[in-house]
Amino acid sequence: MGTDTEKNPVIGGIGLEKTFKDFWGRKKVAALKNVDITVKDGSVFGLLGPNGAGKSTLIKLILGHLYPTRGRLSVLGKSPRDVSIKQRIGYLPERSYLYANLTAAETLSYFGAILDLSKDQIASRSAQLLEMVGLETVRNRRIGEFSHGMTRRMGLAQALLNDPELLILDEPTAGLDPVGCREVKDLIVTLGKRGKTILLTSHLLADVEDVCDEILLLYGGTVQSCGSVTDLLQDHEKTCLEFPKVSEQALASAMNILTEEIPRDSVSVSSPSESLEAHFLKVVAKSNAENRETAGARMGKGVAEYLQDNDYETRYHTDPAAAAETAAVTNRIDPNSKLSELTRDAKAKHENLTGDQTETPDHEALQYLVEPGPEPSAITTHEEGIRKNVLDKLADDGEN
Amino acid sequence: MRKILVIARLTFLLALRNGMVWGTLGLTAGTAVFIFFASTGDNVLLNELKLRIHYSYALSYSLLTLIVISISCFTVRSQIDARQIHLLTALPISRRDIWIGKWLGLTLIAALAECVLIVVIFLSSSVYCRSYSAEEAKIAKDNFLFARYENKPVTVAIEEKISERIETLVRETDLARNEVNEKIWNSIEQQVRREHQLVPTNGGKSWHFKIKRAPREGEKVDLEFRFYAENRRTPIQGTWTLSAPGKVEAFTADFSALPYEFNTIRIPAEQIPASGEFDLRFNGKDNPEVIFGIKTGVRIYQTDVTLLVNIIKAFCAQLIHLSVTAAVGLTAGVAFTFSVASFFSIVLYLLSLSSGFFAGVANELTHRFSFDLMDRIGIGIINFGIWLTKGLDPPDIIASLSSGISIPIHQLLLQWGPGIFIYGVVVALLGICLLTRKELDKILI
Repeated sequence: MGTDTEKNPVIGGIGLEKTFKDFWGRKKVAALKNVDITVKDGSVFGLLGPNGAGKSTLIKLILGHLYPTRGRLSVLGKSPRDVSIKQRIGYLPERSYLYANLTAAETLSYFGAILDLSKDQIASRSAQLLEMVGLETVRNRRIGEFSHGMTRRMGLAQALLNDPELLILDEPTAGLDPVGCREVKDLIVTLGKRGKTILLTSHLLADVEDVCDEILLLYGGTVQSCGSVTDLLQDHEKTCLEFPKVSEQALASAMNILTEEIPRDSVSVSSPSESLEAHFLKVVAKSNAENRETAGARMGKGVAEYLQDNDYETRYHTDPAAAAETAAVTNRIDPNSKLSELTRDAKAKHENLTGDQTETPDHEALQYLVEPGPEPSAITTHEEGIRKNVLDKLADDGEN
Repeated sequence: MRKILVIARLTFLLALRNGMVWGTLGLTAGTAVFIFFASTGDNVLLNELKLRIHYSYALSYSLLTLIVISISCFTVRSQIDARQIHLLTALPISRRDIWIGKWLGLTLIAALAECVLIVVIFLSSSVYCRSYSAEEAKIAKDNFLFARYENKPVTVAIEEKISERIETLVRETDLARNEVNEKIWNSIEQQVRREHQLVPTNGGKSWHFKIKRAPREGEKVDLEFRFYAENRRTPIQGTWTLSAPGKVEAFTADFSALPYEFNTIRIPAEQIPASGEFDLRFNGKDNPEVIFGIKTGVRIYQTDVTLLVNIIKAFCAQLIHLSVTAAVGLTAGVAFTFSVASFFSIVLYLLSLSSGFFAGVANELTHRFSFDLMDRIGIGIINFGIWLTKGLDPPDIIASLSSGISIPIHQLLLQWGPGIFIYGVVVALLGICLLTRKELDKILI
């Protein structure tokens, strides 16, 4: 018997077809063919496919902008055209469709009013969101004067204004700098932890792999592959170990143990190099810590507090201390955010250059970038034995 | 309702920021001022002022209507094309509310432009009147500060008179009804029309009036008349007599007036019976044949409301008209591309302006003894065209306003109101239906 989540998925589509026709009703393009989609409550769902695969059409069907030619689709248990469900949905389109003649603050104010938020809520959330996306210094500048990346950040802010249960992100990292990309990924992870459902499309497969629990791959309007990321991507035939640098002798001993089980040429040994993304983030975090001036977007101040905590607004309105706390910008930084961590470390490093504190090692600051992936679920006892032997050998070598 | 008002505010603010509001106000005001000072009339004190106000108001109002249609088409179409409406429709607001909100925002812009237009014409008139002497200024004020109500004589429809004559002819002669052919019918029609307007040599003619209300003591009541004669330079002499049932002594006034000119005779308020119903008779003295026009022949004017009240009435009627044109523009903008939508709605408006001409053609076609199939098809097409555009027909008030005549709001609401109301509702429903059913992307794989 299935659970409630399986019975009532946030998005459930069966046999979806969408055919575009010309003025005379002649078939022009079959954008989707017999697509089934199930997005479970609380999952981060990736929609992948090359250009023209049907991703955007599927998103438009989910938003009720297009109507399916055939098939059934429900979103949050209702028809996609039902206005009431839109209160629980946040949408970031693939390009900025915001009004170029409104300022950032005005945009959030108008959208907030349509979302039935109170004036206090609009003011509080707008301030937090603009800080989160690094646009607090340009809140009174018109969106038409923003760069592409800044409008993307602004789009993200409007999509999150209602603290949505279902967040639909169409190419969320397109046009963003690496800092913005990292922030978006942090945000998705944070929202995912809160049990929000996120549907995203992206051409940057690494991004999808970083954040998604499940993916659906479309090609030519049909589903090519669907399932959890772990199941689809994990190579159960290989094992990867990562550890600090050890002596040649320890490596040779470990190799000896491994070659008892597997041929020598199937084992590769190399030193990992720092990724360009990690290097870029380190430089920006340092500049940000030094408060260097910029006319563009600044590094975000972490995920907005109301997006981290289900009870945030209740506390905000009942506890004056919480309200005062929120007023302080620094307190809005999500302590668990990886970028916040990076900023803290960069700050500490900057202080070390000017003060007498101990310098934090770089590899610790960037630890999240080299964290091992999820534990393989199907590693055999035999493989575990080999790994234990190797680790013991390396530990002995380290002590010596 | 709150969300509708948010969309209305948003529409207004966006139009303000992208210059549409300023452009509308500037063009309307500029046109009004230019036409006011560029037009010239017969240089007769009041006629000149009336003519300038009339031309300036009528042309700039027509331009304003075209602008409202264009910005309505543009507002909705540009948002559909730029996909800004996608974000709105992803929010918890129905497309119906989006349509209504946009319509309200556009109506607000139209109201603002209408206000500016009225103020600009008022200021232009004030500037123009500075050249007047003190006496001339007083006459102008007397004529404009209080609007007069126009009472028309009670007349019997021409069709009824023709039928009556035919009945009499059949009764009094040996002619059978089925022998009344087209020739006889046309002859009777011409005779009736002629009698309706003609005063024979040394003859007289009566008109029956039922005025809006009995005048108060000291109130100004004016008889205004204009007639045509063969020799326009020879004055005609005669007497006007006002009589009513139960009225012992009739009011009489002698006059001497030139043909083709408007002439006024003041009637003491106490001479008008309390019922407001009386007969007015013209008796010429050695007069040749004269013709009193159907539209401007004989009128009774009485003081009605202040200029401000008259302007408010005009503003309200025109705002209703502008709001319907905004609805037409919005609906066309939802249905078609910007260029097609603008062309379609502007053509509709221009046709509505000429609906009077087409109504005249249809009327002429209807006043015939018999109809063949082609006549019926022609009348049907013309009537359909009039019906299609009638709702966009602007209220016929500019001539009244510029002449200091009180706008008959009750008549307006009875004759013009239902048409524009139904038209507005139909167009709005069509627009909402189209926007609600419309898929927002044709091809977006």
